Amino acid sequence: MSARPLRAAVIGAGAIAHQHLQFLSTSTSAELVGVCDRSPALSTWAADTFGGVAFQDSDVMLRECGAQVVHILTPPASHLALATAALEAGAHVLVEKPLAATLAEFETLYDAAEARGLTVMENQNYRFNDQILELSSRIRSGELGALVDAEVRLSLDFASDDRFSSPLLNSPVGHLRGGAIRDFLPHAVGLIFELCGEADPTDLHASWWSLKKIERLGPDELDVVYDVKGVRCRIRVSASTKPEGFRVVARGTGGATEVDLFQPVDLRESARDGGALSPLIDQIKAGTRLVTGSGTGLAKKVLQHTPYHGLNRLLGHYYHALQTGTALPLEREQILRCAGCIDQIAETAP
Amino acid sequence: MKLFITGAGGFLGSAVRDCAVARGHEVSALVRKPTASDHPNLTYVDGDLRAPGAWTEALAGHDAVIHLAAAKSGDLATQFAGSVLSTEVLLTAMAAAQTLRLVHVSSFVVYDFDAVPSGATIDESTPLEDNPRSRDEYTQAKLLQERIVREWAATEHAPLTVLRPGAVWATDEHWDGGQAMSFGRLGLAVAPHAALKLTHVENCAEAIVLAAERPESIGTTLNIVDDNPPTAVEFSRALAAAGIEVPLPLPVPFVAFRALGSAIQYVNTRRFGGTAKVPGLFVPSKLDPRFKPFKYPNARAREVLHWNPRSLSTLLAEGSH
Repeated sequence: MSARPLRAAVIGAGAIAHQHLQFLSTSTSAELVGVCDRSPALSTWAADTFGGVAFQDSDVMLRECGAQVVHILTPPASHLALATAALEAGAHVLVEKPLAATLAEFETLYDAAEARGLTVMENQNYRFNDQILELSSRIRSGELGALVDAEVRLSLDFASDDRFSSPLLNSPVGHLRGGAIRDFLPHAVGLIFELCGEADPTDLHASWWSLKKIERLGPDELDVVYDVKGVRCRIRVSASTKPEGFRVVARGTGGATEVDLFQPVDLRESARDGGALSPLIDQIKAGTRLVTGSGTGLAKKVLQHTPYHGLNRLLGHYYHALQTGTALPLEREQILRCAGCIDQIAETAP
Repeated sequence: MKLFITGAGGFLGSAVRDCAVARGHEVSALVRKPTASDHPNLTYVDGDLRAPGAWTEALAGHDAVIHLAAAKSGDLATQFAGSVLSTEVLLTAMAAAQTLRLVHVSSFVVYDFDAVPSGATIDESTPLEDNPRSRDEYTQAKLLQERIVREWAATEHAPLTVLRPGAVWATDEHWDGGQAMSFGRLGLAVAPHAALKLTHVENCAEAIVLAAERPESIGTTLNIVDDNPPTAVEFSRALAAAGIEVPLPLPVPFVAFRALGSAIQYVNTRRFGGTAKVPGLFVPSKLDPRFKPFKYPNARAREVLHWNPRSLSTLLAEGSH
């Protein structure tokens, strides 16, 4: 007999909320009971489209809808207060990244949740994308040999997103050290840990600079390197480099793999065996993989297997864990380690 | 009149701004980029409708607001923010300032094109789309935007005019002569003999300013389409004759494209549960609004607004932009 669906509510009905609402409206593990947004039009539209009752006041929703799980999908500055209120209302809390502004705030929330026998979790959906899971599995199986380098490169023109750059709007991340770039770090840092395993970073060096020279935006380029378990890790965030992409590369003593989470192409290279025909065979293999990877990627695009597909998987695991009392897909230690690493990087920001 | 114009830095908004100033009105033009005025009757107001700010204080004392601001592209969340949330902020500020006269610029896209048989007339009595999710993000946002404007006007007893312009064009924004797509010098004229619901940016701007001027427009909804709109083939030829580079139209019957779209939709539904993302030209609910043959009368707008749009040949002969 399957477990009863959990009563779920959402605070914040913009942007990423559509992905969460889509999951909640179709999952057998969740029953969407409330959608809250300050905008009456947006909350009503979301409730009409995905289900639940529309609210404009989160306190009223938390009081009236009896949610067992609350998704907090508002701008980061509001996360701490809303998550605290949801915990006080007796709900488990899932929060969009960044869950809080500092490691200390993360710990406060986790302590508050545990004191009530509840859970809190930050969304790091890209860790659950097909390509990342496959790449992790390849690393764990030893297919790449001993891992030497791990790199995450995000090329995304966030400078043209006026939510970050317009002086007429309140930047959603204006209160965070590191500004707009900081908004992307939970994903990048989480992916590095996914590849390298869990250990505190050491020997961290970061450079921040601005190519766009938009005062409001602050730095729009970041290059940070550090060690995790002897693997040299690099995170590069750039608002200027083209083409746009979200590339993750792992290089080991036995080969390398590069994936792009925006354009689902998977490029694998193996170490040559040193035979006479090895260069030719390697070239044919590389070409075949490129063609196959491109075809698969195109099919995924057409079938709307979007970069957000990892979120559905994460939410599926999350609700199953809550229903069965098993471990969450991302545990406290993992989230706090990410937050600590991000704090270290952010401390180097100008 | 003192007019407050939102979206005044945009393609249509800047034409409305210029037309209003030319007609002797005192204009406050809301723009996102600081701009210096070059006319004594024109004041630029810096502001972004998505956030209440100093611009809301400028609303008081105006005779009417002409609301053109909307997002034209982006995903659904972006378009909701640019068209719906921004409108909510504007309406709240208007109510606070007791500036209640509103000319809302909606869009022709809000109609249910599937409900009207091919060759029939689309006018102000045509039903609105009742399945927004089958349509593109722009349509979903404009439908919701128009709905909240009407609800607000009913609540505030605000004098409202809703205008629904067709495809607004200019010589440098000519929709490839109304063709569906182009391949180098060749273009695909889907439904080559169907009228395009065109309105030239200057004609449309004049209609919008007239709506603000004329009390008779209060309480009306008016489609804004020029007289005798041309077909894609006629439009392409007229543009080419005026020295404007457009692809050579390759005519394709609408029914052929529609049949192909229906077949693709059938396979998509049966094989992929409707999840495959197909270009809009091959999706009947997105193809119909653009190319299904209809008639587009403008008698109501001409009558209420005393609007006499200039003809295509006149506009091209005059070298209007």
